[in-house]
Amino acid sequence: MVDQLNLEKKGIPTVTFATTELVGLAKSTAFSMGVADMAFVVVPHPMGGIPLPEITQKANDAYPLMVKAAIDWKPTVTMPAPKPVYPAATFSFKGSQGDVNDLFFDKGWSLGLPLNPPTTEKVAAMLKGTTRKPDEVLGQLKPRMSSLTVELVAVAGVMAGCKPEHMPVLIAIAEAMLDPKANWVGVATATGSVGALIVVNGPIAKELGIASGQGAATRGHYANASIGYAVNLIAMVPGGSKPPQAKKTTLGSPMDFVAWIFAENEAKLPKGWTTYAEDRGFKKTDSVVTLMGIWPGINVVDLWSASPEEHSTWFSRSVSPLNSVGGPCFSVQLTQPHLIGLGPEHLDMYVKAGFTKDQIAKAIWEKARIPFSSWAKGCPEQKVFREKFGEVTPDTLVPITLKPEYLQIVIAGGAGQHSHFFAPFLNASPVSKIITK
Amino acid sequence: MKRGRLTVLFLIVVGLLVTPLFASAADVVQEWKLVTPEGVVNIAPMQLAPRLTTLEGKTVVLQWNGKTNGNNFLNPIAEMLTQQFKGIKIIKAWELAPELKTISQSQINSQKIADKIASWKPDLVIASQAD
Repeated sequence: MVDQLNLEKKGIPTVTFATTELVGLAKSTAFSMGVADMAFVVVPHPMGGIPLPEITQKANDAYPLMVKAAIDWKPTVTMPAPKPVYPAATFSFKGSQGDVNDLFFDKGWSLGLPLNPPTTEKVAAMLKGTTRKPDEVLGQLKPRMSSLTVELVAVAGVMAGCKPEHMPVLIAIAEAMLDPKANWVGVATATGSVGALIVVNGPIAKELGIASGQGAATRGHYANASIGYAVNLIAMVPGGSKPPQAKKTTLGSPMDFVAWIFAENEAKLPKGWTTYAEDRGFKKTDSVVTLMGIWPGINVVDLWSASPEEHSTWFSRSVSPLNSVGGPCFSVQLTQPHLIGLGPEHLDMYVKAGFTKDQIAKAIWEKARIPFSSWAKGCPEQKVFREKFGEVTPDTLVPITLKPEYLQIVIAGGAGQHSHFFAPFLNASPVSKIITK
Repeated sequence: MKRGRLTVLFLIVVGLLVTPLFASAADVVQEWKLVTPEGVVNIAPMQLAPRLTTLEGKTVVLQWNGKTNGNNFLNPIAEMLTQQFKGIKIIKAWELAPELKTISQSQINSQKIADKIASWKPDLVIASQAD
């Protein structure tokens, strides 16, 4: 859709075929770029996966509408006039807390989980957790392109049950969502079951009780739960990542309710090792959040390996199928950072054998391959893939990423023989932001 | 008998008095002053390209994002356009530049696709999302 908008900007008119199921997403994308109405021709869903006679019939049916859209179309809607972004509108409501929850759900301001009513008093109290001004616009959050103010972050924080001291973390996460490198619009609107992974480093984790060890990303950690919930409220309410129009996920996942959030288990880092945030250019004393749009993470259980050789073999075999979303189908993923959430007990095995962090990544990378024949012949980028990497045979083993450096390591969780793997959504790079109070 | 009735009445009155104490705060009806959480959307309008009034003699690029059947959908469109409009020139982008047969996935990639298509100086681009 963005391609057509870029063409229109260049003075070239376009007509876009979109299906009944996805035209809403196309329209919201256009709106987010300042186009309230565009020349669409709506085709009954689906277009993919149907036999040739059926798709030909759909083309025949759509053709007259296409011609009309090409030479006899005019926009009927215009973009709304600008309004002040601060202060956010307030309103009075009489009812119980349950009634407020129902109201917010009806208005599309609720994920469907219980929420705390964002009263003016509670929002004011939440704003005391930051020195940032409430009217500061952090950016235009996609896909809706709302002006995300510090005040709106506080509103989401109140709704999710955050404490005022969580505000600096929420603001840093919001800034990461707004960073183009995060490809948040892709994460927020993808048909895949993608969501947000957030890794916290530095002293803030201990200060706020953001869990880092045993079961760090499970239930029972107030800061993790409330911050993870607030992230999704920000994404959906001001951000507009709302099903079914904008958020087009085929199934979705629990990440759509509470983001996958944990602090790195820095206490388990071997002597002399750097933290994940340090690897990304920060100081050990910095408090940092790193946000990455991910496909659902994989738990690699390994109770049996007795050596790095065995573990890296099993780990790489377990995560290689994930390459099926990359490789020649989405070759961009080959150059995106992927995250290995190495469990402390697996880490010990490598450390005892004298491995450095880079050597662990390399040991896994060298074995994380999948035969070229695994992908459907219709993978759209196969030709590009061949041009980039030379001729390949069906038996050619394709690496999960182009270089081992694209496998990054964070020490995740506590006791237990489990490590995790987080593959990035397309073009979604990890984005780190310093947490400032 | 009379004493029994009095006891029942007493219990009812006590019950009515005590019940609100057990009701949770969430059930209490009150006046709320709430902040609207969705914020404001201010987007500068983008000017669309001038529209065509005919397709005769025009150069039309068909763009397929690589999703299944998009080409099978656009091929008959190309045939019908050629039959109906005199002098029309159809360019199937995926044949001329196979690297365009893709989902752009980012603004940078999208800009590259748009630049490439624009280099062919088309009068119109017809794109299939093909989901």
